[in-house]
Amino acid sequence: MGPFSRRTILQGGALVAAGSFLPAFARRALGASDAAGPGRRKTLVFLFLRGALDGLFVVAPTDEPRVATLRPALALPPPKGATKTTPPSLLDFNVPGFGLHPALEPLLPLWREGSLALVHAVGSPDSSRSHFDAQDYLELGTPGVKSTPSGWLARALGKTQLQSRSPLDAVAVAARLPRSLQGGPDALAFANLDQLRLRPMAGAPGGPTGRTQSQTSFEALYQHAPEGAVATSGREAFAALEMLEKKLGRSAPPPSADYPRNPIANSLRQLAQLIKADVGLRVGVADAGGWDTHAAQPGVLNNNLGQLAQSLAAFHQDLGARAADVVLVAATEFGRTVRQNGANGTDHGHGSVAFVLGGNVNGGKLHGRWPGLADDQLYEGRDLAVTTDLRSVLAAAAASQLGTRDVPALFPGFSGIALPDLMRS
Amino acid sequence: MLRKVLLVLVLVLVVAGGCSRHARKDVSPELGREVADAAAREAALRDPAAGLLLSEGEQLEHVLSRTSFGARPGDTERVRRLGIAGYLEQQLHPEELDDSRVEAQLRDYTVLRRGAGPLAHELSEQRKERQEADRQKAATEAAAEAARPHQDTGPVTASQAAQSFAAPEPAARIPLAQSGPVATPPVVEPAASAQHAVERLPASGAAQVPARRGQELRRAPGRAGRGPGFDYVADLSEAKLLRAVSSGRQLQEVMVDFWFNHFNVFAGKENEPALLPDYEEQVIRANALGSFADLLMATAHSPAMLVYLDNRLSSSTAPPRQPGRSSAWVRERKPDPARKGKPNVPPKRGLNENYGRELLELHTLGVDGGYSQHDIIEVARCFTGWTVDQPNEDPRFVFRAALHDDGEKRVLGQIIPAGGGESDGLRVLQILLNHPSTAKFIARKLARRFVSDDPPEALVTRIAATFARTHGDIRSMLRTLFESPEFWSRRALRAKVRSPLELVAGSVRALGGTIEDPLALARAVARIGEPLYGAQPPTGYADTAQSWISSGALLARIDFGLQLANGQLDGVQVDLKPIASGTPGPEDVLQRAVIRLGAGELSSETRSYVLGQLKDGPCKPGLLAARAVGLLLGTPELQRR
Repeated sequence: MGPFSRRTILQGGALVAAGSFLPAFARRALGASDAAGPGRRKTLVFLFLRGALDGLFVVAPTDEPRVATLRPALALPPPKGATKTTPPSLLDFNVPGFGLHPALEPLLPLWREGSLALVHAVGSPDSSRSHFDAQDYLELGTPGVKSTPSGWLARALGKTQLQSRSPLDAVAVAARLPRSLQGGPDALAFANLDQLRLRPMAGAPGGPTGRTQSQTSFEALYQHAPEGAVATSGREAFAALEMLEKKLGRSAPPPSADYPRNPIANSLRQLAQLIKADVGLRVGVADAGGWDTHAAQPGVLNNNLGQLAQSLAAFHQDLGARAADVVLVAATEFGRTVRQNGANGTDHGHGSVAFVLGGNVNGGKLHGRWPGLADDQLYEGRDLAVTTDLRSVLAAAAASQLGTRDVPALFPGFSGIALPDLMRS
Repeated sequence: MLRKVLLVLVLVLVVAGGCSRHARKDVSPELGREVADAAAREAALRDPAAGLLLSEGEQLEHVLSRTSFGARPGDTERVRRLGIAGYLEQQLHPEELDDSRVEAQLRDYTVLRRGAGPLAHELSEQRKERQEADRQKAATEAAAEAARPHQDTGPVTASQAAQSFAAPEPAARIPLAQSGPVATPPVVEPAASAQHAVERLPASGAAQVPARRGQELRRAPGRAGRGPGFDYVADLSEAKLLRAVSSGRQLQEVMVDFWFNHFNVFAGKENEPALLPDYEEQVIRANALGSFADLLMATAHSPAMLVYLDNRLSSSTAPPRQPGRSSAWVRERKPDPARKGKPNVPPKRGLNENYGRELLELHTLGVDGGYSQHDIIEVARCFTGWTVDQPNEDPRFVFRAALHDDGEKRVLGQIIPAGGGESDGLRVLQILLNHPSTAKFIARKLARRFVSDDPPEALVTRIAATFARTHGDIRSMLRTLFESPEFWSRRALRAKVRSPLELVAGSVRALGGTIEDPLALARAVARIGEPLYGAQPPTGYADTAQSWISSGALLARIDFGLQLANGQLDGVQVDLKPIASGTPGPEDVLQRAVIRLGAGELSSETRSYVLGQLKDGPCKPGLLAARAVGLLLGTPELQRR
């Protein structure tokens, strides 16, 4: 830190209690106790497939005769082999009675090596088919109750035993902090890591020196701002900036995988970067949209599922050895109607599918219980029923990654347990 | 006696109104001259804990902060002269305000006037060419890489093309979508290009300012990944920014922003870029201060909404009643060159619940408004046949009886008899307009925009009563707001966090900026987290601070302030001379900058810290002024309105 900021600090400090204007930067530097920073940690990543993904399209039953009559435009022929064929058919992923959508081919190696599991007929006990409501319920972890003051990941993090807090304990790659992380320990949200920098002020030197000056100035400004959402965000932002600078430095190493160019990959690449840099990340959240397929579902999902699969595969490869420390759950707010609608799409439904990827995952298995598609087996006569509460999937992942085994504390009002057998330990 | 007096009063008002303003169709009386003062006094009496009543200066600041995108230099004085009531009445009647200057600026934006037909036609032609080029490219590549495994993400197949009149436009092809958030579905290459558009912003320092102007970049043909609809949405975004910054009809612009978000349509779907200009001009702006009933009607009939929420694809599941008509439907279709050589099969029939659901949940009743899944299906049945004629050539609303479910329906307890045809949908809209949940839902949303994130229930109730009394007259609801003690309470002062658009437009307004390239501002709005026309979910953007503010977005806000003050926002100049003129010391510069930015009361900590940074800063007055403005724009105080 140059003489510039030092002088500034003294000027400011003279007006309040001496030294209290020191930015967190400087104070921590003076304390210099946690120079090593957080080390290797276990991380839980939640990828929210917002928009209601059609689980029946992803993992399609092959011996349910009703599929062909209820959704003729959405049904693919049963597997003909392990690779893609023309015309496309479902992929054989070694689960009798089901085929995997061919766009998910990039995930087959992860499935075979046992790091990817799927859970079918998973979802919420609440009957809402409103995106708005159902996304809230999922993020709060309390289906049917909107008054819950905190998100489920915020509670999970709050229950986690941490040796030392990191400003990067919880990160959402999103323009706004998702509800799942609100109401708990500080969490950081950013759309892009590159966004986390300030340009030099007028009259300041250019380059890193000027940027650091800007950062120091605004950090001090926000340190003493009156309480409120703005001030809190500011303080979190500057603490995180400091940690990032310490861990990532000026130039981050390139990822060790070829990510496709799409928003999901962009988010996962950044989370992988944080995990590999040992910034102390325990919870990462990202969004992936584009599943609300009321029309032209085959084309839209073929593309979007392909993007998802390529992104997940790249994430896993990029993590390398650290994949052992990471579990990613990708889930959606509800599924879609079994019957296709008038536009070769589907409307809002109930049960869907969840992806669970990572080192400790009991993969290569389709978890859950198949409810069937006969009229009396459908939920409200139209949708895939829910036989596995998504909360038991999330509880299993949280227990594995964050050590939080108190399910009722994580999900108030939930009497279920963590899904057995989903995790290796 | 009282009744007599009222009658006379009404007569006088009617006569007075009739003499002076023929154009007006006001349902509620004009605001009283001392409305602000009286309401502020009542607020202080009713709620002493809130603090002192607002001073005149605070009243002026407050009213400008809520009814405009932020005060420009001189605005406060102007409103003081007019009187607050006079100013508000003026703003409530934008048609009487001369706005020729900004209208002249908008003359170049032909996209606003060309109409959906020519735009849709041009867009579909461009897309066909591009698809053809893509196909050829793919064929060449496929031949070259025959050995590699088959990829299935190629061009749209024939069956998909038959289902949708245009290949779904990937979200990221809209100019300002940013990477990451909910708003962008995953897509192949265009995602990266939109990200690229945002990343073209100089990260820091003048050296990194791109040599080419944004205008040129945008007009440069064949720029990688730029989709065919890009220009329309870019022009529309520019027009929105120009109006937000320069229009004198500020309240109208605020309401356009509000209603667009309420009746959100996403530019990334199908051929929305061609439909959005008409939607914003004819549907939203034309009714922004009119009647909610008209607004609801207009959105329900708009091709933009019918495409966005898929109602155009919704039809009865039952076979049509008159067998002769089913082939008539096919005959009505204009031959589509893209379908040449393909069998002319009518699309599959079936109900689509998307519009029905969002109409209830987001446009009228609200999510807790008291409807069931059954109501959604019944509403969707009522709207079957409300579709778009010639979506690619001359998109217009059309009712097709052959697609309509003509059976009896029951919506929110009311029977809609069989055989109603097109009127079924109108009946539904009427039921919704008369429903108390709609009044409450709209009232709460307005109070949230104009008062605070968690508005007092009593205020919501009063606005809802005005809604019910006036059948949703927007001006009347706003008058109820402006004469309420809750609006003039100290609790409401600077209680709102500025949205990204408000922050960007407001900063430029405060600094008397001149705009050469409005797209630079639109890009800044996107970077702060809310790309214009880029909200994918039908909810639009959340209207509370909690969801706006995140660490990353806050840094983007601070950085925007620095960029603007430093003169690094390419295509936008701010006028710092009034702050820098003469040889001012740091105190003078700070004082002038605070006034210029309408920063009101800075906390003593902020003030002393900023002053320290100025004393420590550059000597040149211009740089000193820029530093003061850059610092102030980034303070917590300036994030609020």
